[in-house]
Amino acid sequence: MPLTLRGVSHRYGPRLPWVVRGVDLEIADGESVALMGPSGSGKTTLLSILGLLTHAAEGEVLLDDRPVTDSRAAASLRTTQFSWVFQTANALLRRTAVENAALQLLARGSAPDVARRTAIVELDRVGVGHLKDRPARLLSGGELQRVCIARALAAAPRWILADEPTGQLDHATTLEVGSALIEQRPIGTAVIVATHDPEVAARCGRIVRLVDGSIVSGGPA
Amino acid sequence: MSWRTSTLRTEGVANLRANAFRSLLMAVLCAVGFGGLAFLELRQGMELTDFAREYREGGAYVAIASVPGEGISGTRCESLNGTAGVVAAGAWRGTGQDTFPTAPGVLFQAADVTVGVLKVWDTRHLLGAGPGLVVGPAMAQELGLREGLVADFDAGEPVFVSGVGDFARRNPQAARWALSPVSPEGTFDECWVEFQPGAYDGGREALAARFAEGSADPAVRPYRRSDEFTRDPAEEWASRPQKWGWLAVSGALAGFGLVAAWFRRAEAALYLAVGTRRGQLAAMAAAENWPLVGTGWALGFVSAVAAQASQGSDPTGDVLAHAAVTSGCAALVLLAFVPWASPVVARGSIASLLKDR
Repeated sequence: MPLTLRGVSHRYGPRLPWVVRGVDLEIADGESVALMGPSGSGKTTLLSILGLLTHAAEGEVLLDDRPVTDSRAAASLRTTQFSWVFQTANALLRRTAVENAALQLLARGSAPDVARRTAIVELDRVGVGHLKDRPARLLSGGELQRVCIARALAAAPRWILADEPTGQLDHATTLEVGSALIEQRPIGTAVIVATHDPEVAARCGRIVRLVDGSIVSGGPA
Repeated sequence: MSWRTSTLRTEGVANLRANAFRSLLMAVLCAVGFGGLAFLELRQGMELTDFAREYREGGAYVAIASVPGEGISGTRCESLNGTAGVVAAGAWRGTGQDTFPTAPGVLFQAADVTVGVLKVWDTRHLLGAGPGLVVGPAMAQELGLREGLVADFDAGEPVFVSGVGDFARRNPQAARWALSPVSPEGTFDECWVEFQPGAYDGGREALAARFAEGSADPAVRPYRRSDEFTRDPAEEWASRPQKWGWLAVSGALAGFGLVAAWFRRAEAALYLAVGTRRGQLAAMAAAENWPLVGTGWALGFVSAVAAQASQGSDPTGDVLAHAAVTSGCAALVLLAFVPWASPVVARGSIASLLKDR
């Protein structure tokens, strides 16, 4: 399988409790997966391990059946294969929407003009193209989250990881953001969403449920 | 596939522009820090330079040689001119007292001098080797004499006044003297020698040896005696409080850089999350901070020079160079360290940093 967790456990310190326990998970290219579970069940930690932001204390992460071990390789893979959408819309607040949307393309070595053109297309696609030159700090929560989704989509990544992307949005905006992220994603791109929202989860092809850091069910949605 | 170098630079500059207040604050703090340091250097440097000049003009490096009972050779004294470490040397001898018809009853000291002694006594070094009389400033004022007039002694021919000496600093008693330049042949009362500062101590010892040849025991004494209250400009400069100020200033500014980076660690984490390596993050921070540090240093230095000049003391070249080097060292240290503030504060879990806004 392209992205595999094998016996992954994690805790944030030797004396702290395990947040993720013995997780085995496989995710295929182009798949959409929702991680659901109560607060503190380990969704965000599992997501950050899947996205190579956190190195698991135990077990291994395999990409295309090869283990990802060192941080330099992880950084390189984050640039080339992964995109993130976070719960609190992480953006460069003093930079414009289009500069934010172009960020990951620039990190991949794209020329600035190419990155900008692509970013504008993606901003239009998620419905905030008219705000492209507005500083991010002047956007509403929903607008900013869509800018972050545009940033993720613009890089045409193999994997999009989203951590509670609609956690701070109203219902109408949640539907728009969910649609932009899950249904309008490029063909071949897998999306893994950690969410509390059943409507967002219902849009995914598979729901993985976590309780106390362990997977309790992972069948089709 | 990663950031292009040119894109890293433009990204850093874009962050500089986008964070205008922080950028302005950083530039202002750099200007204040580097400028303050440069000003301290300029102020103390000029104070010591002025003191050293005053000290030298006050005769700090003048020695007086004499041979009690015999007199000292004028030729040997004058021959010191042109030797290494000697600024000027010359001899004088008293020839009694004179009065002038325009001031009957008022006595003035008359003396024969070799040309060199006029250079030692008059710090302006303007008095030449002309045949006329050189008079002290007090005498010139009392008698209304000035260069180019003719003075009429009671006992002698009228004499052309070739100059009015400014002896106040080096030999105030000569202020009421009438000096006749003569050939160095024969013996004189004293030989006055001004040395270069670095040659003073050795020169005094050599002076005694020089006049000891073929004569009785010569006496060599300093014009100004030093004691425990005598200032030593070189020592004061070497132990100045701001000597290590470049470390303190760069440390303080680097601290500000760390605090500023700490408040932007979520931003740094975002760059890391999209795959930016820590070295690239540092390069981006360098593009953002180096123009601010450079501008701050330039503004601070120019302001410090202007502030020093406004106090009526234009800095000399070597003092300027010292101030530039000291404040420049602080700037260089900051240039080296400040780009790493962002990678340093953005350590640990990227996911945690992204939540830490």
